[in-house]
Amino acid sequence: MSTKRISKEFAEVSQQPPEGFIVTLPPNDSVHTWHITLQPPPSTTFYPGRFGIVLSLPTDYPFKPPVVKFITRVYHPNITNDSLGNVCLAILKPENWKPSTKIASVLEALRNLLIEPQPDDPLEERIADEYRNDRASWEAKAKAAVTKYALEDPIFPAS
Amino acid sequence: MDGSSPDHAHRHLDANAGREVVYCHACASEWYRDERGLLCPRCGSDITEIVSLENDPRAFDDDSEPESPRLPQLRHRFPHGDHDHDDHDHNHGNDHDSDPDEADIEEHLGPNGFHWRRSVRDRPGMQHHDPAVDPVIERFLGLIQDIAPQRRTNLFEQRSEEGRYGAPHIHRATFTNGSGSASVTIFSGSGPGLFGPTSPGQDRHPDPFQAFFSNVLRDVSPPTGGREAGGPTPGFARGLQEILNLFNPAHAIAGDAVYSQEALDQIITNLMEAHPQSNAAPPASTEALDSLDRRPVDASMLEGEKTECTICIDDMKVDDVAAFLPCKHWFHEECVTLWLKQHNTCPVCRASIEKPDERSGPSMRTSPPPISSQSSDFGSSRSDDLYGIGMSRTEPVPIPGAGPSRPPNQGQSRINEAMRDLSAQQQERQDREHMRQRIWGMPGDRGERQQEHDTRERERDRIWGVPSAMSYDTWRTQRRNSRNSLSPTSPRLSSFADYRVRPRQTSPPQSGRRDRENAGSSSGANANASASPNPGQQTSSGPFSWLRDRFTGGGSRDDSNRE
Repeated sequence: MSTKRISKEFAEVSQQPPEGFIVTLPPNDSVHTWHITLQPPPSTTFYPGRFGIVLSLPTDYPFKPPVVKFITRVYHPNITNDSLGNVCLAILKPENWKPSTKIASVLEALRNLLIEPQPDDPLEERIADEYRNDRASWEAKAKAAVTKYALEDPIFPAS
Repeated sequence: MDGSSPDHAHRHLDANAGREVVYCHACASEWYRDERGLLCPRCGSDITEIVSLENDPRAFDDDSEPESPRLPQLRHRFPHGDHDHDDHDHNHGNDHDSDPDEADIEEHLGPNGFHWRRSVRDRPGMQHHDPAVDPVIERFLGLIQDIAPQRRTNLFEQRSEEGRYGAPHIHRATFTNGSGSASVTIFSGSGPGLFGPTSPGQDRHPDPFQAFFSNVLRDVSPPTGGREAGGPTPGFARGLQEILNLFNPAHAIAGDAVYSQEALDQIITNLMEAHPQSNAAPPASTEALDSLDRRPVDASMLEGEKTECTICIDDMKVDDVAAFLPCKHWFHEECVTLWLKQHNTCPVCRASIEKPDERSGPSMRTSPPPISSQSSDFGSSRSDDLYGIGMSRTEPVPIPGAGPSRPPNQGQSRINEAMRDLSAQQQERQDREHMRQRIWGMPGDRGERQQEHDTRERERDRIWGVPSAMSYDTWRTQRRNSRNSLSPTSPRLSSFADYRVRPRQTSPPQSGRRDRENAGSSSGANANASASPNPGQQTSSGPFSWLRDRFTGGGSRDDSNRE
């Protein structure tokens, strides 16, 4: 079932991607890994960055949530500021996941996370503190990170 | 800088020769940094320090071989004013590595023979001294001093045992990163000590201070390069906070018992990490699965909006077998069964499927179930109130349907807040006594009490054939979890519920009714929980009952908040 649903979802998402997203499948790979490029809206701190995201769908999707990782560095309270790029996204937590959540919703949630970080549920506490207490400083660093890492097209790892 | 001490330097590598000399506190070897780096080439230890003239660890360590107590000397060695606090200002931007600027913070040895200092060296232009650390340390020291007089110190014994306890423990750590290095030294001497006289015989164990501090010290590293100047050091403060908790008798972990939110969080975090799925809803019971409304899809069912199974996102077709959940959502029977075997909640709204009679929709939300009709049906659940066995008397009012309209997060944090408040009230006195007993090794009878409590629960199970109090307690939290579909319950609650109840989920209907029962009958649960816990509660001090109290408080408080 998972492959069928994933294929359907991919067809939907790739034909009508949510705003700011480009979704592709890696060459020679199953539909269980998606390569996603996200460009946040111009109003956000992270514009005009283009962020690479790898979305991995477990074999028992949709009964288990997808796993998303940023492959582009992001200076963000909810995304680990390292090469792993783990994301803290509420709807993907095991206790919150429900099969009716579609990948399109996950992508929307990712974009919203870039638009509005959630410092109260941080993965990077230091960045969260800064975001809360010294927004100007955070923005400067986030922008610097965008300039440094996110202006090129993301390079997805060959998986 | 001035203040050179050639009497030390001549016995060692010369730290004044323009090269940085690194000293290993573990094996006392020394080497040049530019040859060997910062890790000890001999023993591999990273407890090393760059020698500077005004702070030469070699001399210090040489002098304080633990044969003789050196506290007076230590005090002498680091008197106030020995280190010029203003020096570092002049040296900003000074690139002379072997003569780094330094900022010292110090305290005299207190009655506990406790002393610490922190020095930080930085590359030029870096913020090198974080003032936010000082108050934290000072608070910590103050706390130590406060605690000490409460201790049962026997000065005579202390003096006579000086030889055993007397040696000062020295813990020093140096941290380096891209922007500089910091070293922290902590001396915990004998004194009328915190740990000495009360635990004779154990005193040869490693100094507890060292154990604590080796953890904390990891965070005392110099500010990282990208860090803005002057900010607090959250990591360090947090680490110290944990230590403060250790010293506070009311905030402690003792064996399997926890007595603070922090300790509980810690344990639950561990559990969650060990079982990544454990905070998700548990699998559906077979009864619930069997009792699902299953029927073939007919044309009339496809007239409405929903014609797609949200699990496989295929269209529902005539003659497909559909399963209807109590929340009225329906799916391919095959699809939803796969899900329910993992989690007993609706794939769309996450309502639990376990108690069909309770969750017919939002209309249930504000009307508590009638008491009389319930109690006549279920005498056994009534019995707990009548007999007051175990914990059930203070069973909380279940939340009557938090409902999707509730704003996410806000409500949740309110619950947590309420839980904290309430449990603080509730536990304060009790904890203080119990914990002091337990932690400080005074005689306590907790084991017996716990046993007694367990026996009671078993007894009730036997008599009434219902799952124990724990079991339905967690049913309640779980239901709360599932009902509140937009704002997931704190993982804290649900994970714990799960972890505890899973093996017991055999008769959900009964426990479900019990919940309703209690919803109607114990409207005074607020008062119960906060003001007068029943005797059973008082006497059982195990972690489970503590948690139960907490959940109780959370539930009822939350209820009252909303109305």
